[in-house]
Amino acid sequence: MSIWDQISGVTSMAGSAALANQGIQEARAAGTAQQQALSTLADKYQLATQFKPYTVTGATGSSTFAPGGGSTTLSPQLQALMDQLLQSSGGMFTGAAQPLDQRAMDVTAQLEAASAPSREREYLSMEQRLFNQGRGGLQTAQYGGAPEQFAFAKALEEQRAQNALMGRSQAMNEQNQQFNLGQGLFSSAFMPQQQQNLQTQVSTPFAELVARSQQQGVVTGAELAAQGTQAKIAGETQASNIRQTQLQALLDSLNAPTSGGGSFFGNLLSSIFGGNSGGTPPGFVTPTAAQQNAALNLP
Amino acid sequence: MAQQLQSVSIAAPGFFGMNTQDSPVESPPRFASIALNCVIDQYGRVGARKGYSYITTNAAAISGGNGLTTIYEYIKKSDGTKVVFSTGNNKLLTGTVTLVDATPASYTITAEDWKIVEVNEKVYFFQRGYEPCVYSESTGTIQKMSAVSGSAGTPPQANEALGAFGRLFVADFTTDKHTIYWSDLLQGHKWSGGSSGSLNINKVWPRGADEIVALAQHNNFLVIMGRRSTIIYGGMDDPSTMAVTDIIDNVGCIARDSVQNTGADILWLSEHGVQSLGRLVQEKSAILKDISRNVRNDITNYITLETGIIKSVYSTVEAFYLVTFPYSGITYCFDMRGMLEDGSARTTIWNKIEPKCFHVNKAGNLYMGHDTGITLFDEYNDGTATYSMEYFSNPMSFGNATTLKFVKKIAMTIIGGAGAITNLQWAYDYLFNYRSSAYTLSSGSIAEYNVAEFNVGEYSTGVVITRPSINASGSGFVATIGITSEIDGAALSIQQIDVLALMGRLV
Repeated sequence: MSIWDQISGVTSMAGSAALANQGIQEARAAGTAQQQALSTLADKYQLATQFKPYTVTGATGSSTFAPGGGSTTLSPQLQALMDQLLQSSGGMFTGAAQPLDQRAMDVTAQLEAASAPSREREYLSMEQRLFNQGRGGLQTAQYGGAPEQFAFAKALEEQRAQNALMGRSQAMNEQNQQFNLGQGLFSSAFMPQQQQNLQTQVSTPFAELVARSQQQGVVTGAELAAQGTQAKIAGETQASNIRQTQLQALLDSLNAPTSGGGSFFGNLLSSIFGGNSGGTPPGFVTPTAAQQNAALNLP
Repeated sequence: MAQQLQSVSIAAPGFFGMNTQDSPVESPPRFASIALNCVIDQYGRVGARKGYSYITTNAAAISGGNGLTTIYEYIKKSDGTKVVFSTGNNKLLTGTVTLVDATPASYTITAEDWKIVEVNEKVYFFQRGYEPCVYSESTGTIQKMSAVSGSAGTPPQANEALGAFGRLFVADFTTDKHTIYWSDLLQGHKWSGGSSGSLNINKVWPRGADEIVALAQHNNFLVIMGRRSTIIYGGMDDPSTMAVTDIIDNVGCIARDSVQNTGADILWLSEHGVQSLGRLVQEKSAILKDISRNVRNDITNYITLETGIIKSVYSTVEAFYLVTFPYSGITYCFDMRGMLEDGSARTTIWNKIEPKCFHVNKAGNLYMGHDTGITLFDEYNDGTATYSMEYFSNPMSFGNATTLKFVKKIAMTIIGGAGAITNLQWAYDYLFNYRSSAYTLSSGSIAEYNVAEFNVGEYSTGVVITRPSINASGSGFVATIGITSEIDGAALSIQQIDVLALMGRLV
């Protein structure tokens, strides 16, 4: 082969190489650009689908959900009602927790006061009867006074004992009632809150939709990032293939059967490429797994 | 021209007792204007009362005092023997013939107004301001109530006590005149616990303010006598249920010891005289009678004058109620055999007998207390002294008050007397300038009149009947006839008085 042929061949090879290099660069650039575009798109998508605080407002009040947590606020009327119920229930519990004896005595006193007028009438009637019988000044060791007075006093004491017993029973019932009422009031006090919670729960599907959207955004961003990375990889792969094709063509040219066996250009090319036939061409780097993850925005 | 003699015969003169209240002229001749030291005897005649004889022989036991002021006979349930208690000379005494000082040791007495009552084999001595004393049959001694076994509570220092309904009722304290206390059942010395009690009647008095003077039980009622009113309580089966049954206003009791229960009645002295409370069987209200109606003014005068302790007695045997006024020395005798039509009792008065107290023992004998001991109402002398029996009729008009009368003859039929000097007296026109004619009654041979010896009445020797007849003088429109006789050991009764009077001109 002449030199010219050889020069022409070299020139051809150089031209091919240059074209290949151009292709490689374009493939790389295209992959990189796609990756960047997808990454940007993923970022935008993630930003767009990021959780945004929201507030649910209804008749019972409002519930606000923020990234740091949620809070509910009852309407002033319901809050006042809740406060009133809680206060009332507190009063009931206080009443229920009062010492029984005092309340029993109070109730007994009320019972005594209620029966006092009729008792007074009976006493006056008896006193009048005794007086008219000339027995008003009667004192006996057996009865203290007259037997009627003794019977009256006995009935009085029995009634007092009954009143005391009734007072105690009534006090116990009242305490029980107060406790039950307190419980009821206490339970009722939280009904506005429960209603508020229900109101919030009604808005839960929307929150879930938002969350799903956010999840979709994350997934889509991740997918876009992965696609960007794949595009990058595809560009690199395409560039690598071009390079490989380029080099194969060069090698084929150089290693075309000549006399003498090996060729100069082959040797030259071998020397140019360092003898690394079959390896990764210089400047072409295979991305590591971490780089791939980062490119995909994966942890 | 000779005038016809008008004959007036008075059978059983004074049979109706004294009457100083009704108009004397129109008063029936059976009423007497004076019946002194008389009784209405069993035959309905005016007769001399009995006197008394001393039973007690040891006068020294009460000498220096005011005599015996209370007598009470107790019959022991165990053996029926009798114990006679008496009080006098600031002592509690026992015995009749010989008085024995039975005053508890360390018990000083300075007053003599005891009331002795009996409940369940115990005799109780009450006097205001003194702790009561108790005679127990079991111990045979008189003790202070607080010393009696089983005594309880504060012994009431009451003036009035009544043993009735199985317990003691007491009232009239120094400072409390309105409250009645009663003891436990059958235990007169137990004043707290059991069925004891009290009743203040301060607000029951009908006149607002009164004070308890006496208590009595009658017909299962408790009669509470105030000074000006009387309250009757029923339901005494249980004092705690007692209730007023009746209230008698303006009739009270002025003397604790004037109250006597006759069994069918209660007699007591009020400001208006002697009252009688009828039985309360069917009638709601008490049938109150003034048995001293015929001597009302006289007796109220004695009541007004009285400053001592009025005593009384009812004798079933003698059938009289005696009430004595020590200040005046007068004793009124009300015959209880029967009442007059107006509800009053036949009344006579006694003097000189002057009993300090009375008591009728279980045998029916009337004991009296006198200066030196116990006396027995039995003989016709006051101790050893004689006394005068006087009977005077009311002024008699012989049926015509406008005609002058000349009493010509007075004849009497007198039973008994036994030699007593008797004065037949007459006066005219309400004057007291009596003309008299003495006459000695026949002593006869009678042994005893109305006195039994060895349980055999000795009437077999006959009753001396004397019919003195005297010629009277003077004239007047009304004439009063009387007889006075000194009683000295013999009974005397006026059976009949016959008066012959000549009717003169008209006024």
